[in-house]
Amino acid sequence: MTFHRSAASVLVLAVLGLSSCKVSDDAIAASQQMTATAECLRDYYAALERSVTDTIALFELDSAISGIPYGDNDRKLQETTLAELRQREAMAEELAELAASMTALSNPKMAGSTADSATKLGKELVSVKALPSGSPVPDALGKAGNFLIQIAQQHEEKKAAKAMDDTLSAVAALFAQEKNAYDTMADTHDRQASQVAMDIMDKNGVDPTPMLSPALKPFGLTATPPSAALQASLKQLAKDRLKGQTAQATRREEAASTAMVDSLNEMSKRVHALATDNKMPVRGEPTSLKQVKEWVESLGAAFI
Amino acid sequence: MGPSLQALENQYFLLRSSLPTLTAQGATQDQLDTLRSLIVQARTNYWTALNKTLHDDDPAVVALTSQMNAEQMNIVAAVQHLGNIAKVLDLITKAVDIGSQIVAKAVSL
Repeated sequence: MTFHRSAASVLVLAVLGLSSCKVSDDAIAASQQMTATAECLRDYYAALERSVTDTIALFELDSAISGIPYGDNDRKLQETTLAELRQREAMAEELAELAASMTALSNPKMAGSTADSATKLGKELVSVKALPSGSPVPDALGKAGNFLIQIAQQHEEKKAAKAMDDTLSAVAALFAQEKNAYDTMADTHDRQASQVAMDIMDKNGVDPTPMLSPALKPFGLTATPPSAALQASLKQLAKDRLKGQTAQATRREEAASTAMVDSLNEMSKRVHALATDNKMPVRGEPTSLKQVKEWVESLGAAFI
Repeated sequence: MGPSLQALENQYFLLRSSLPTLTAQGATQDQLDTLRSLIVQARTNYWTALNKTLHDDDPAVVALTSQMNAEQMNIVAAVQHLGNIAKVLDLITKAVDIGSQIVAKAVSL
């Protein structure tokens, strides 16, 4: 990872249109912001993968509890989606590695390694397909990928600026195009978990004791195993809370994916400004990243 | 969310949530097995649609989506009020067929 990042720095400098050995403050800032944005994108895809993996487990659980068949052919649909998400996660990781390099400047010894790093990202971009059999990935993504490979191999630094500009725009376009699909994956997970939980409640398989803590905890009291009557009296409250939390989880993910679109578009604008005007005075990562990070973190404790 | 993808997701969860209701209403084992098969089909339709980008602007897809949404309202009413499980299953079968038509149409585009 360090090898790739330091080796990619020459390309990053060239990409940002710098002809001298000195790295401008604007270019360094842009690099840091691009890294943060790409890492957040990587983490978003990783969270979505966990969501789909968890959904498979929920379908299996549902089959055992409710008798709704779930076999290998069914599972293949989710596994296909997982494979595509992993590819997108890898793409985001490569983008983060490339953007992170702002150190070894015009070091000729780094040229070959820089080419490797750019080529790797370029190949990821070219190989990303749309979600299985879906609409074509934006053409610009593949073209940007080919461009990166080309300029890395031919050291055409001047063209690299446009390549990175186009790359970020293409990644932003891809995410925006697929956002609806991402939202529905997350929503399906939340609703499926809620449905299975309700079925377990109906079979009296849920211990409602934690619900009693607002009444017992202030006085240092502990509940005894709940009686059938207590379980029955708390069941409706538990279901109502479940519905509310499920709706809230859906809203939070949709807000996170919207924030990710905003972040990618913002970074695309900033890199474009730097590539065309050689200026990028904005400091700090896109503020919308915060919402994405909060959503990713909120899922951390939720998955098995 | 794209309207047709949302409609297919909603159909799956509407059918899924109908299982305990119809069980409580005294559906026979055969009727419940039929419902389970329809739930599986609705789930497959949804995941197939998820893995393909739906052309929500296609007039045929728009029309089918409207039709499916209308059928789903009938299902909600039937599950809650009708008590005629056979009728409910007929409505569900019709709605799932429309869902399958949406997916087939999207695949062909």
